[in-house]
Amino acid sequence: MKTLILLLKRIFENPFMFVMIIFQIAVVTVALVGVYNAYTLSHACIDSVSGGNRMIYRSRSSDFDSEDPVEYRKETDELMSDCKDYLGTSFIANGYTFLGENATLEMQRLYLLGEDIPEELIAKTKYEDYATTYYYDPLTLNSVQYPLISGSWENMLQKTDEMLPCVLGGWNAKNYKVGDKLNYYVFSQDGNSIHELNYTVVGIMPEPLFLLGASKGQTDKYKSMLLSEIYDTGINEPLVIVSNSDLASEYDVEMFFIRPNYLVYFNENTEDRLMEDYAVMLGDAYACTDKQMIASEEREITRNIDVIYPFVIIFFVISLSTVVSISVITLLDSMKVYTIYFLLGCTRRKILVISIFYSIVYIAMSGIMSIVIIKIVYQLLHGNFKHYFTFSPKIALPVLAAFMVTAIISIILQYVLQKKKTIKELVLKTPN
Amino acid sequence: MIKLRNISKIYNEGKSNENRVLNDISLTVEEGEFVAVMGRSGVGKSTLLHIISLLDKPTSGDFILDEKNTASMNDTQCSKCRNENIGILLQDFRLIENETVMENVMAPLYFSKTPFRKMKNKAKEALFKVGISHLSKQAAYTLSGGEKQRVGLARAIVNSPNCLLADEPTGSLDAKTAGEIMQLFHDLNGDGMTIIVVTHDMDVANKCSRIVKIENGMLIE
Repeated sequence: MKTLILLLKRIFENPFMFVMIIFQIAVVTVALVGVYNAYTLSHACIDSVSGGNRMIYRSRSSDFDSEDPVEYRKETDELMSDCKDYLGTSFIANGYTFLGENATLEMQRLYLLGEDIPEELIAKTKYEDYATTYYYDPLTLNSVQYPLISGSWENMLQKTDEMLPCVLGGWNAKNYKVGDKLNYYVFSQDGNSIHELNYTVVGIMPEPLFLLGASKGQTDKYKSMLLSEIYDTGINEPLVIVSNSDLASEYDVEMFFIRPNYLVYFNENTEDRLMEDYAVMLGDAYACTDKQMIASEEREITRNIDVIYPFVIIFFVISLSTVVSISVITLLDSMKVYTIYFLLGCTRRKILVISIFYSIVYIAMSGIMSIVIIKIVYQLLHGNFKHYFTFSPKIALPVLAAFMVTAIISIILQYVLQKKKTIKELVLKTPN
Repeated sequence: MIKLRNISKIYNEGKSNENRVLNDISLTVEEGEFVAVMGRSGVGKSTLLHIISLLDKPTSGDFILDEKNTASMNDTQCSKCRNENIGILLQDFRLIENETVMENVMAPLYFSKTPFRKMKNKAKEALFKVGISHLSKQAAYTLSGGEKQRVGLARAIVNSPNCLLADEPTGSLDAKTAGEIMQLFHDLNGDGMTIIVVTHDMDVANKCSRIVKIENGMLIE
């Protein structure tokens, strides 16, 4: 009890300094979380394509005007005849549609009947109620193999109990688990009726994840060979559903088919040199292998990092020196009081206990303040930037470890400073 | 009773800058005595006081406090012994400036066996004894030198120690305030408290019942 009161006295002796050091540590933490998340997000595109089959991205020349998939595949098959590892081709995203539920369905029904849609109903229609769906053909599903945190891609190939198998992504995906059922409604292709679509979850994707998108890579203007230019980021989507286009077509789902550019899949063990030869052989307007795209993406990331790196270092050094300065001032201030305590009969062990708890309290409070600031910043920001300020389990562990290391360093520092000789020297000043 | 037997204190022993401050000093202070330790600056008065207050250990010799040889005490035992038996008053007061007078006086009780609920009353009693009850809620940094020294004295006696050690207690005070502090020492000594005052001021020493001098590290009665 008495020790606790002494601890509280230490905290409230200089509340301004105490709050300042907590705030400084929290700000540095938030900045580091932001930098870490920005780095992770920039790498997510590369992470999303690693692990599946090898592929070559092939862009058609702009004068190609056919959108007939049969023509397309025929031509591709001719080109592929010499490629022994060739598995097949896929257009970039076979299908793409929006789905809605609850209030959205009622709104669609009224729209179809030609009735006015009440304002209250529009207000009820939340963005979170929508899902974006990507339909891939079985070959693409087999080849992309985006990483999953649970479930398996193998269950995507067949319908069970009249339900479409799906894999979920987006920031709402964590609220679902494998085996959950989802009901959505969608317009038919002629726009005159609404279909109910029943999905069963067979896998959950991690966040952030990049997916082969329908609106990406449709022309040959993307010549920088960046992965991020043919992949969609799902980080702003509440829910992303990846499903099987062959199975979905049985439901008459409205989808956008056929894009001029496409991917050619190869066995995952195909050697780099062979892949590069194939890319040359397949080249029309241009073609490049997955490794080449990954390398380009990494170069782009490095270039971006090189620009912001000095600013991050400067900010970090300034913040860190401020934290260290305030810590040392506080510590020296505390040492004066601890010296008086020692003079009055406080044991060195008790002084150490007080100082250790003091360190733990301000480190813990810095952690709490970091979380609060991150939550506030997340709410205030819009667009992709807000995703730099999230406390995912991946970042939470390093941050926790950093806080523990800081606490341990602080405790060791206090211990060294308060070794018997030091505290006695402060009491005795210089010997006669 | 305080008994020093052949106490020597050498700083930087065996090095080129070796400094022998106390040389084979023996001194006995009986219970209830009021002793002045005199000497020029740097002769080892404060070192002697630090040894008696268990803040420092002699290089050789024995210090016996209430029949107990302190040589065998570890750091924790020394701290507890200091808290229970010795009150210390220093020239520079050593108050916690941001805290109130009451909190400063209560400070030693946090390290004693005194129950928390009784701490405030004990502090009030100590403040009453030194005549500054009216200042209890004031922050230490707002006080004058004389008032600060009274707070220091109240803090030194709050735990009812057997012995009060004062290092130049009037060194930074004017003559009138110094006289008042010495009067308080007399009152406490009258109540049976052993008091040892380290001073180089002859006027202060003359108010004590016994004077010992330190010269060249040796004690002269």
